[in-house]
Amino acid sequence: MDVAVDAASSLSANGAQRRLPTASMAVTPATSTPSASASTSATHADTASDAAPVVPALGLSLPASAFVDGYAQQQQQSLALHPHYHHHQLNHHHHHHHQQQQQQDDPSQQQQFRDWLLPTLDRVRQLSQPQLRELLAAILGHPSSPQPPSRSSSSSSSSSEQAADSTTAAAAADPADALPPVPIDPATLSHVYRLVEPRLRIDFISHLPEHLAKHILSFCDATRLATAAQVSRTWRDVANDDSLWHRMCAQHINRKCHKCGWGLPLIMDMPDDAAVAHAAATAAASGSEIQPSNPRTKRPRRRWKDIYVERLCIERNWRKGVYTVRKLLHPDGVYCLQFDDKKIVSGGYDGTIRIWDTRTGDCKSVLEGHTRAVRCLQFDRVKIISGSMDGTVKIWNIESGDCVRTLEGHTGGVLSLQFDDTKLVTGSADSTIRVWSFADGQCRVLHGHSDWVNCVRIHHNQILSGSDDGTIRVWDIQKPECVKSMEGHLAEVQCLQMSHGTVVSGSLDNTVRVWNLETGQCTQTLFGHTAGVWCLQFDNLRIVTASHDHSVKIWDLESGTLMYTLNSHLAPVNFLQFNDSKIVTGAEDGVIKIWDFGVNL
Amino acid sequence: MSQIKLQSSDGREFTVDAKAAKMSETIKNMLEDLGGDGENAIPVPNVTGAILEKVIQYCLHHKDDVAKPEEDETKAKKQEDIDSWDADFCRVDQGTLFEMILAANYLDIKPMLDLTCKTVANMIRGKTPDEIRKLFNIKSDFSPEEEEQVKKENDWCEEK
Repeated sequence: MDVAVDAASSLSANGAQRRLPTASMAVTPATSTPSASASTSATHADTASDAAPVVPALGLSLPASAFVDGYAQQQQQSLALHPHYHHHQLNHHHHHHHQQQQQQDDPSQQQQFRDWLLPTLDRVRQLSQPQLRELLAAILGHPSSPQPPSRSSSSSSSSSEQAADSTTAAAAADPADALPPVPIDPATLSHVYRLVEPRLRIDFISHLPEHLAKHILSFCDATRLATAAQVSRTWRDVANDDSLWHRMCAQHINRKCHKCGWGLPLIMDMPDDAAVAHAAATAAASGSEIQPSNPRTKRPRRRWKDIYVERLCIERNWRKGVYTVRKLLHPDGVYCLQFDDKKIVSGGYDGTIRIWDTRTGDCKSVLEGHTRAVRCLQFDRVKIISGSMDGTVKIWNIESGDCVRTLEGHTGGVLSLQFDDTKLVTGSADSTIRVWSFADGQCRVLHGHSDWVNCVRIHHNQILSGSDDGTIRVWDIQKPECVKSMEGHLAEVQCLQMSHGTVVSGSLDNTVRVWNLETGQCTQTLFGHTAGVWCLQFDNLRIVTASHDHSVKIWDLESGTLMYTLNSHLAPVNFLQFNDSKIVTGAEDGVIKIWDFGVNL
Repeated sequence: MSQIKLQSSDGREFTVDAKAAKMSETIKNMLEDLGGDGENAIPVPNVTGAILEKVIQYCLHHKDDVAKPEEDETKAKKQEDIDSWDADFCRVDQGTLFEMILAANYLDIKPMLDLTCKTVANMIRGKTPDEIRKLFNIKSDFSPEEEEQVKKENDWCEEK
């Protein structure tokens, strides 16, 4: 009994110990210390004199049916108990105590049953898992038909046999080992069973060593982890574990999870955790592990779970089209814009560049100098570069707003530009592309398109361009010459972007096409717009397109299916840019809209 | 040496195909350390006979599995990929499953550890916190304030 209770408490009461509740612990008293089990059943005899001591190993006696309530008696069935459990008792007690008795109407018997039941329940509550399984095996694991009594003498149980039998009911079914069954009526058993069965359940998370508990939860998705966190304190602590959520973030942020099909936005413009989220995404991409704690971060780093949940809420807003809209007005119409978390810079028909405060929507400054519409612009930390229908490119000091340089050379309007650290690439209505070197000011001209060059994109040592001639061309900057031409659009190519070998283009033929850069083949065509597609952008999750049909459409990148349409512009939409939580669009009527999906956080 | 002997914590001896036994890194290391003459049983002190029997059953079934390339940590762990033999193998009471996890961990049999842990993870799929408590016979030890807090913190998960 003492040994048994020790075993039980070592498992359930001492979570810190977290050790294997070996079956041998439960079995030891039965096999090696018969005196202990004998004394245990003697104790029981005090409270229930007629009790049949059935499972001495557990210090538990099951009653003969004499103690059982009347309803149980009516069934008159008996179940056999496994012999091993009362093997010793047969030597110490008189067998006739096990005889079934018919005294169910006697109130004193019922009292006696209650007297037996309560301590027994206490006892059962203290049993360890292996002991409970032993007990349950004793109750359930054996046929209801009595075993032949003659077998009793043939049984010689070695300790190892008993140990095996005690842990698996199936192993105990060998009739050769059978001793005479003890008849116990099913209602009594059901009492005990109802007690035992729930105790056979194990709180895996609390009782396993922590690394195994985490291993279990590492197979759970976010929803299950969040549910698990609500079970108990221990579960909460394990399910909120930062490394589990770090993995969850790495699986989902800025990429699509293979399992659940969800990807979450990276959100670079949330200053504090943009770096860590980016680090997670980078680590995910490279397959390497990153340190969850970043020593360079001044403020305490946010929990990965918080980051995950925030991204999830934003992603849900993206999917469901939940957003807030703010409006700015750039008079006469917007051709181009770019934004970050502080400012929006827009270029318009009126030839000006306007700088807006992203948060308040105030226009902070107006840059004047171009004589015709500003068709394209890009800014970085120190400069804005703009291209205009007046044929010039201007470089502006972003702080002072002064024009520091004007580049001339194109013989037609400058329709598109992009720059990186070393060079500026411009596309023009004169059908050429110019590559300007920041280092030496040299300019090289790429000939090949036969009509306006509406968009240029730098990609490593290549330039991609889209033209009114309907083609997309790939240029090698080193050579420099056109190395590939992709044809398929039925009208002018207005916009394109490339990433990871995939090119997405939009055209005045109203379609969006997805291309494999390697093969030059069009892999997908997205239909939906009812007028020309003037601008597009895509990230790892979605494509957003702007069209002269006044709409902005959001497409799933992987499947190419249209998710939904933003319809509230009242004029052709010329330009858009989006990041992980916002889309900013500019339309021909001068309206700039900020669609913010980072709501309800 | 194609067969080796293992002895469980409760003294039962098992003769096992060596290749199967070597699915356990722990046994594999023991064999290397002991030099293994095939005569003396290797003691497996932390595992009872009944559980060792299950472990052996697993190893025999999987001993010829082609070693999977090291799984990308960041790759999603799949839950749906338990085949029917494995599922049947894990159809045991919770106590047995518990000990199987500990045994797989001790014996360092990664696929079996993954399988058994996955099985537990699958048990809580789609269940409410209350249902999970019932399933594993857990009593919530949250104070009412904590309960409120933890609900609020995780209420996002109910939406799909």
